[in-house]
Amino acid sequence: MRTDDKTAKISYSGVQAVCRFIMLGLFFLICFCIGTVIGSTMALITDAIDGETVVPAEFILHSIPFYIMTALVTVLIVIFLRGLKRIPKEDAVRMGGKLRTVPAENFRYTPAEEKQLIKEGRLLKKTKLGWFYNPDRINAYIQQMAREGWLLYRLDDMGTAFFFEKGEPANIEFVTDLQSNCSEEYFSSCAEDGWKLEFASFARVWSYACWSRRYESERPDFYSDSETKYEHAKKFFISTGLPVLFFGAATIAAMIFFIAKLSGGEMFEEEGMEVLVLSFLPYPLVSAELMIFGISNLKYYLDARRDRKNNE
Amino acid sequence: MTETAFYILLALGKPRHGYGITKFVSELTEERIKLGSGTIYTTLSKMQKDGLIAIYDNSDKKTVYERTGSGDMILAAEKERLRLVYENIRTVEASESA
Repeated sequence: MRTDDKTAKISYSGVQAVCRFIMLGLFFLICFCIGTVIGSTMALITDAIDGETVVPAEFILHSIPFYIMTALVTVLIVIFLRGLKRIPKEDAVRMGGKLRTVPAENFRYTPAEEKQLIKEGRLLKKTKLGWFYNPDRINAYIQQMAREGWLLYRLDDMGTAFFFEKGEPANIEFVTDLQSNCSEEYFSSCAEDGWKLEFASFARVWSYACWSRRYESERPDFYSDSETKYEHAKKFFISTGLPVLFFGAATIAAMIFFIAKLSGGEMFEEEGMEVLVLSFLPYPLVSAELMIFGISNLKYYLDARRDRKNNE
Repeated sequence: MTETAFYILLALGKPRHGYGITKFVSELTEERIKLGSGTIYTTLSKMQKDGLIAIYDNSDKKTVYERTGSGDMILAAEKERLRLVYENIRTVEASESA
């Protein structure tokens, strides 16, 4: 059993660094996509006005100021959203410094023991990308696993994989709660109420916590009325699903626009076309991912809205 | 006003923290109403934003809330409405049994 808290903390900070690196990579990828769209559009428009043929390599050149502009605008939006948050600064620092993403006490086995258990088939690791966007669906999945005797053991530090331990079939409720009021008191109160903290993100823009609870017959309600469940889903959708859908739709629109524009001309024969084609590679990936996540979040919101209507 | 909001305001006649409110309401209603943690914090955030409650004490790892003047007024209006509803029920029941 893991008892050394220091080891856990070191591994967490390493994981956080990787998370930050990935987030930074994603950020540049998005800036690159948006910058290319704006820059290329500007190039097409200005050249169409001048009556000149567009050299594809110029698309990228034209886009450089827009990469920088997109990055700056995104940073400004993040600063603005952070300003809207009412979390006392010292609380966020204290929580981020203490809890990290997965509480140390959730690691009942050492990494070596975990590996051994996985080999023996007593521990199962399941990666679920984008589960965060639909808390109801992941709850149903974890419940189903628990009924089959695979009990949630822990989440990984990045919150993308779930570890299940073989045991007696049981009932588990799993909740993902987006809260702007993630104070230390919120964590202690939920714990006092019988919930076990599984994961906590202390990002200022999306601060959320995942809780689980085993139960016998009466299913515990994290949201005891459909009104607050709806409020939560609405806040979640406005802050997460809606921007994701918007960016997804914008990326698809940009792809269609360029395919239509380029297929009409002789530009495919121009020199430097490979650079342009390469710059479009992330588009289908980014748009498909964004649309799937956005629609998943929209479904969560619509389900909560339907439940509220039914309870009226 | 939802039943949840009413009971939270009722509980905050005395300064209480999140779980303190859950316990108070559960005992008062003999476990008819068990307020979920998510419900409590979503409602508390909203009420704080609307100025119905305020933080009484934020030390010792516990955020303790209490009702503000606006909260008192809203609660008094809701109590009056419920009193009228109760009187109406009594009147109808009396006429039905007569």
